[in-house]
Amino acid sequence: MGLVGAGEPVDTLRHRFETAGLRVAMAGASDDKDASIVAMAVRCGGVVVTTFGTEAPLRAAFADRDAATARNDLVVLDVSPIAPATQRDLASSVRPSSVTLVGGRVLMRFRDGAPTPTLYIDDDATRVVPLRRVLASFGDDLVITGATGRAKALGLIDDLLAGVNAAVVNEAMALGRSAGLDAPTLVSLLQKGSGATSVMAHATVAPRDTAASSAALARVVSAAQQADHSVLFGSVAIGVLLRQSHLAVGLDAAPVNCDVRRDRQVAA
Amino acid sequence: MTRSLQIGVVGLGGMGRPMARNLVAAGHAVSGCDISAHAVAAAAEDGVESAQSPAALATRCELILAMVWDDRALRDVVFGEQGLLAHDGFAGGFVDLSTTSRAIAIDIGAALTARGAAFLDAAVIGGGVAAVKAARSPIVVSGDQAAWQRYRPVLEQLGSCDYVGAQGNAKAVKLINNFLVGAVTAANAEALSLATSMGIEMTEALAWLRHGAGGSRVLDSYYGALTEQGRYPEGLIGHRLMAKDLQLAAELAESVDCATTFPRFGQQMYLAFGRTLGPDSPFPTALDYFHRANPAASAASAAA
Repeated sequence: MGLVGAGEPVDTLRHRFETAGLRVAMAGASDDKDASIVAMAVRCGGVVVTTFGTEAPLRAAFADRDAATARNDLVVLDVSPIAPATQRDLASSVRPSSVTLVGGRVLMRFRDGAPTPTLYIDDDATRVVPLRRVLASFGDDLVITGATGRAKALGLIDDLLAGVNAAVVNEAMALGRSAGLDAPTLVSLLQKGSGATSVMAHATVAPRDTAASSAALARVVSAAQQADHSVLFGSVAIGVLLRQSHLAVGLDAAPVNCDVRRDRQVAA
Repeated sequence: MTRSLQIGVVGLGGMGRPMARNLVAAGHAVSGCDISAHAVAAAAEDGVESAQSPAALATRCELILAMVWDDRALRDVVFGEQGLLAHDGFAGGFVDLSTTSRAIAIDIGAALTARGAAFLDAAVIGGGVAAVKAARSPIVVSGDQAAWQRYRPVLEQLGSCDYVGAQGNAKAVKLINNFLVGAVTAANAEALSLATSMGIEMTEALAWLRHGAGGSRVLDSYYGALTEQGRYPEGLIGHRLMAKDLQLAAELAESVDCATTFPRFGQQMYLAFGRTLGPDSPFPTALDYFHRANPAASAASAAA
């Protein structure tokens, strides 16, 4: 099978697939991705998993009909954080050619405190025979979400929840430090209270870079717009996270490591 | 074994009354007062003797607890015509468990100490009314360390206590906690409303996402209860009070020169929720606001 993309999701996927005994051919971000998908499919028996930060490379790949139909049994499982509407649009645009595009997302779930990458997929992915070994590699960490686009939607909702929570937790920790409270003690107390969050509990094992969270939220806002839905807290959090990123007060290490002194120095 | 004390409780509402009841059950002689005669009468059914005012409590109680609405009410409890300090001889302990500012905690601490009394600022930071009733609330306490040692056995009959140091620290922890609760609740409401717009029912979204990176106690407790029991947990404050709490968090941030965005933004949003849904509607009903503001979510929610 082929794996096209870059960043943390690629490493997670590769590990899963190889642990399950699948042979994985990789193409990285620096490659020409719209060619890579096809090249991968030819080399790898027609199954490619893709993960891009934006929809552009995916659209480019399928816009090239000649390339996309170079092999007539191409199956693409795309786990990029694109909007459900975009996925449906892409899936319909490659049909009636023999190319099959199905969607999913890899999201983090916590089991007994341990981060566990979990593959969320739409119903239609389960009906694609060549994908079965790929899906089986996730074992119990596979969630079948229903109709086309629902896995993408769930991924965006998760991005929204985690992104805003991260922005809010960062502000809370910065406020605590400025008020003279000991950060580890504050974390311990807040995790006993009603304001406990996964972001705070697991920041050290699941670091979320503030700039990446901000970019993820921007995708959510854009996708929400396609669904005619306004996102106020998510929009505000984009700016807050960017500011935190600029001031290095973010979750790139952990919220308890927020450096308010630096925040103040920069502000001054 | 904790010795029995004469204890006064000011504020016998949703939180104060069960606290008073637990103290009675622990063997203390408890008196209480409230601006509502109905609340005083209801607490009398639990064995709480009625008192006319905080000043009246000061004449007979060694320890007085307060659970009142806001800074203004607390100031009246201490400095008012019928307040604690109206009774010259009060030299016992006063513990404020209300959601009030750090600044007033420091003011009251100074005033009571000058009069020979002791003051602890404290707060319940989780569990809601159910935990208060079960005497299992997480409680933070700060201020006079000797007073903490003296009254700790009584406070631990109300919940699990953590002492957090200097006067005002407990209020700071409480305000930061409520800031998190308010902002995360509204953000969760917005996310669940978006899920509805995208064709995912709330039950499904919760089942799939509550253990993920975006999980929170808010998501579990408030929206989990809504989907599983059809209602929010009892005793949640309304939009008006949540707006007040967020305002206090914003003022705390300004007082310590910390740049924040969400406390003020959240405060404004809760004021808007209150105008649309009613100021005393439970604060997680922010979900209804986002549904109403987004026709696709509104239609999907109605269909569900």
